[in-house]
Amino acid sequence: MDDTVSLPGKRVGEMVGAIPTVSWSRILSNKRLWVTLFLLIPALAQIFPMVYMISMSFKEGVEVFSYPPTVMPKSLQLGNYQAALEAAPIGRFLFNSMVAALSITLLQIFTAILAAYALARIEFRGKRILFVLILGTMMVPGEITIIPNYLTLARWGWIDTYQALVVPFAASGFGVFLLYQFFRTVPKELEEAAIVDGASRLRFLFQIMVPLALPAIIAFGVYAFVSAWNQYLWPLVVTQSTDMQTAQIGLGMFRAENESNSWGVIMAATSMLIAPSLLLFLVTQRQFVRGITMSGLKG
Amino acid sequence: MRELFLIVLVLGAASQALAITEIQFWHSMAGPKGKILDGIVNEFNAVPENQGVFHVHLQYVGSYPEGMNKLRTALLGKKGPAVAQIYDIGTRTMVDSGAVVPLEDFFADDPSLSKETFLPQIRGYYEVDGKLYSLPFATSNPIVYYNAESFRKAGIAGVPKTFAEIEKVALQLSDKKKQLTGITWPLVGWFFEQFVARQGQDLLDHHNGRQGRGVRVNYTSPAGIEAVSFWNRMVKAGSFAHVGRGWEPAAHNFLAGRSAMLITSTSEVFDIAKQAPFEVKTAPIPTKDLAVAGGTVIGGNALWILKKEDKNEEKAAYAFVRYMASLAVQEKWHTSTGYFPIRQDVVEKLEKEGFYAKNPSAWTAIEQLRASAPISATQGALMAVFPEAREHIESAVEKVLAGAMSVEGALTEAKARTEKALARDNAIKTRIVGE
Repeated sequence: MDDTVSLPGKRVGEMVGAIPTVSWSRILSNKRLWVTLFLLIPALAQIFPMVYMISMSFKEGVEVFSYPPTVMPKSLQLGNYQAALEAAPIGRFLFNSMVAALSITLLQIFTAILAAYALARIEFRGKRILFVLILGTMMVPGEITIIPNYLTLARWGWIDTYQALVVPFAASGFGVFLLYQFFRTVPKELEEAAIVDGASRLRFLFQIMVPLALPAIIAFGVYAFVSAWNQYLWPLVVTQSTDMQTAQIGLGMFRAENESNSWGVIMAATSMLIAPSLLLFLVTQRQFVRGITMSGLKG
Repeated sequence: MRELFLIVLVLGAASQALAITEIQFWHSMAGPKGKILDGIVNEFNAVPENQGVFHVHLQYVGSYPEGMNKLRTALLGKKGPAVAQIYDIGTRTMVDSGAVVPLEDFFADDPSLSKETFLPQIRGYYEVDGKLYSLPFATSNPIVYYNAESFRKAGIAGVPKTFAEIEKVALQLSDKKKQLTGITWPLVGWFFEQFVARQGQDLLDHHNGRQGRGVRVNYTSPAGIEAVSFWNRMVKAGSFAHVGRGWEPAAHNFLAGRSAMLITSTSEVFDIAKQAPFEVKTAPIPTKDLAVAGGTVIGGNALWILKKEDKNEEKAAYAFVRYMASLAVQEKWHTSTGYFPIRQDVVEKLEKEGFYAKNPSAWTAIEQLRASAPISATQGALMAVFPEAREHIESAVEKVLAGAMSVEGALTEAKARTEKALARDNAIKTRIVGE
């Protein structure tokens, strides 16, 4: 029965001290098993808050405070979800967040593709300085730009609009940097061949370069979407009606700072409000991981 | 010709309807209290006299500090609300901003309201240079909540009134093996401030910054040292549940039945009774020496009317604020949230109706408020750097409780930090908008 298990060049049976049958020592010497077990520890630590959140969203009243805490709720009641939906227009918040986050993501991808291509492939004066400046924007904390941006938008009459939520984030230094790294790995010959065949730069970019860079673009897109989805301060400052507020502000509405809160309801609201970004990640997970490793930005 | 006349008529009527003054009201009440506020605003909009005249849009603007930041930014862009709900410790900043119309300025044209409508101990907090600036809306003070069952089991009649007795009782109620402690309260600067005021000591010089701007803080006064030592002694004795910063952990500890006493805001009085799986009673907070006059400082928030170019908006803002001060709203707000009423007549009415006989827990805070000596210590300190000052106190207390610093050492350090911030602020006199 050992015939099927072979090591390079040798049959297992020929090995000195070979394992006669399926045994513990063989299982224990499996490197994969150890790696998996080792990785399981941080994975569980990562997933626990999520599990606990969902569990709490089903708990009733004081069960939330029970000590020691329990993971399995005593009963699966949906009262918290109902209370959350009644307390705030969650659907509207989700819609607003979706509009803002999707627009920001698409715009950032678009601007990053153009800028990264120019920086990676076109020679022009001041390129290095421009590149450093773009990278520099990654080091400016977002809070600093709030007041000047607000004043500009107030002058344009854009306060409390979707433009206000989206336009200040239409470009991303990180996106440019990520795609720049990727575009540089694409052989120059490919472009020369395309140009010889009569393709314009834009045509080459969108028909050849972009499909090649798709994993990196998707990875960046997921990152951009999640950051946009999680924005809090800017949407808080720039919206002036409940109709324009986003999911994150809606969430704040559930949690009073200096009082005891109904955590069951808060967790129910949180579960609903993070569902879209979680789903997006699940769907695009494979490309996300591939994109990160291919652009050489590990970790 | 007749058609034209009709059109003019219809257009005229439409422009009449458009003359409605719409204003924004920014608030920071999250959770169930936000819902109650929502109901009150809807009622204001539904009042027949307000139909087609005033309309208030309620807008949640995040926590108190977040709301303050949003307000600053919005005022720069001239996009501020007509009415803003601001936390107690934002008072100095709001007065300094130059962006508000003092509430008292509206009283001249309105005989239905005057300063005397409001309880003096409450009004005092929001009076700056003798002028009432804002409407104290949600007001509270800290009280002791206790697990009546634990007390019965231990054979203790009630919550004692002095630090020394509290320490004794807390130790009696603790059980290391069962991980039970006698008492807890949130690690928030507010409680330090309250214990100092309860001992009759100002927190800030210049009579708590009410006669001139404060320069020095009294953290290291005997009252300040005693407040933190009292806290620290119980932690060291194992009778105080030290559960970290923030408001919630202490309340959770109490609700889970692990601490027999909890000191926190009276604004929780109905929520805690509802959530606790045991009988909850309340009592006033303790002090060192009952013979020394002192009391609690009110906390909570106030409604501020902001300057507007369109005077109709200011008028609408006042109409709304007046409504919020009305007997009916104050009664509803008090009996549904636990914040106490700002008007004497509301207390009298509810007393007559037997509300406090039925809800003795809600009475404690009012009794404590009335018993507070009318001195600057209980009027509360005024400083624009209050949010920072709280952080300084909180990190000092944290260091003491962790055994990393002595009470005197930590408070001296905090004092230096706050005074540095005060000096900076007094030099620039923070203004949100220039004159």
